Amino acid sequence: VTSRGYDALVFGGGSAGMAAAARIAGAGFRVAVLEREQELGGVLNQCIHSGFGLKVFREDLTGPEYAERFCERLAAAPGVEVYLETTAQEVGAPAGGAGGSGGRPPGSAPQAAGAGAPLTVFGYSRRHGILELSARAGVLAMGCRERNRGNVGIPGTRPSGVFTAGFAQRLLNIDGYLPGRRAVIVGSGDIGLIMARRLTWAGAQVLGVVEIQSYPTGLTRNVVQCLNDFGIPLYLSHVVTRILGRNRVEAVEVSPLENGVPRPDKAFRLDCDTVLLSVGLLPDTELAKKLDVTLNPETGGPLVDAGLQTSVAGVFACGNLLHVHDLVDYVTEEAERCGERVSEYLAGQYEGLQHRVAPGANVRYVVPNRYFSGRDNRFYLRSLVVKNQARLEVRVGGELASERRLPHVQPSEMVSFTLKPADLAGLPAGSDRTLEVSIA
Amino acid sequence: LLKKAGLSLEEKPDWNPHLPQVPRIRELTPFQVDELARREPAYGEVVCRCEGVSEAEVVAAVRRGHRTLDGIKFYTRAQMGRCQGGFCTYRILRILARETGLPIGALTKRGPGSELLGGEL
Repeated sequence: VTSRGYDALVFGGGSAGMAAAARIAGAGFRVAVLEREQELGGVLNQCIHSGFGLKVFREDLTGPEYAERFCERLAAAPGVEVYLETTAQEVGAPAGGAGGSGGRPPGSAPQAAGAGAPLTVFGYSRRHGILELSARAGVLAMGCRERNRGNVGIPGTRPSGVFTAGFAQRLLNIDGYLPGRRAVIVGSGDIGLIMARRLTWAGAQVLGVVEIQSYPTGLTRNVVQCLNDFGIPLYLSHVVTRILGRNRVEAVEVSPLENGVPRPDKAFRLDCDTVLLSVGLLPDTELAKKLDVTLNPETGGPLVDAGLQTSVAGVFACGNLLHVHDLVDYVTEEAERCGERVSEYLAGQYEGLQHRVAPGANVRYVVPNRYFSGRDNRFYLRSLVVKNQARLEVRVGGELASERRLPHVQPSEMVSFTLKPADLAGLPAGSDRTLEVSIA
Repeated sequence: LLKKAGLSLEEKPDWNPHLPQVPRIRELTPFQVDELARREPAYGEVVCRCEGVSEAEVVAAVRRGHRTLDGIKFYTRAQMGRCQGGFCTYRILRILARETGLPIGALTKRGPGSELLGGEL
């Protein structure tokens, strides 16, 4: 076991991890980035379509191009070490803390990682062997994983040919294999919509996209550009009630939903050899759980304070691991802010005085879960409702502090806003400083 | 029946009822994995993140005759965890192709007729 010490460890070399690591290194700290794959970039590498960077760079880039810009930034930053093909597999006891550290043989104390390194993680790698990495701070940036057939419970046989959309995207765009010839896509999430177009371009036939909700769950621009432009039918308020086929998928049975109940008596059959599932993403929090980080049941990611610090001191979170974003531009923005707060933490300047944030009416979740009263706060939230001409209301201790118009809200489109100290200035100095965000 | 017809059943003198265990990194401490990985670096390569399965365990499964994705799954647990193979299947396909010499397009979920891929670009 090779022991090494850093100021900060970043778990995940995707869009969030790269942006956070670049900021921390830019502030003069030593950072190690752990990435499981052979390349930095995460899921951006398989997103060969365009539409990335419109906000951050004001340019229309493909995923790999977007990732490349951050790879270059990391390469240019001093004090960054990137461990590729390395999995953060086990969490060690705090260096110098009580108790044995993961069955350490006697007489093999770790090399000093700087005084008071609270975070120790074992990275497994063919290339680097087994690494014991310690640091004063950590950034969780492992991203998310796709919900799969078991998560949504589709009845039927279990043949080959059922893929999650992102896995199919990887097979097609990175490895060069077609998952099948005639596909039905379940769920109208963004990856599913993008894959409908991609499969059509690759010569496969897409028979339709089946969505259980009465509205598409992906971005509107993707419905237009990926389905409408190719004449691919979108079955809203429909559900796949059976997958048929013994060895390979032969067909799916699609039933309309009436008053929330599937009507198999009105079902129709689509003959296909492939089913792609695009039924949502979940933060991949296995390492967060091993670190004993408290999770938010609404987002699936960690609960964080105003500086994106989790319930474990010195452990921060950003990107799709924190909550699932629609656009990588938001991830970058959030991760860079996270990197700045980590740098403040490492410099001993972390602002501890914070107040609670709570989701109010028609809001599924708000991130972060605390706010600073003396500096700008950036919030991300998701609506529970579909509505035109909506109003976003921010209340502190019941008093309306800020209000803004939203032309259109729906659960699939994330809302973000910045709250400035000035917005809070006119409020009576009550004891309850809880901030509530609601949509009316 | 065959016995009645005169088949003589004799135990082979070198028959060993125990297959040697393949070490599983999910059950070992990092220091034990370190010892294994020094001899065989493939123990350091985590193929299945959800269930903590190393490449060495997958290779051992193939060498013991598990040549389908389901075979690998039932033997090693890879693909059995929370992502249900979303992240590791392509890695396992590559290892299977390398170890068996079969083209990736010929690999199956559980035998002929359950080929996984629909063609190459």
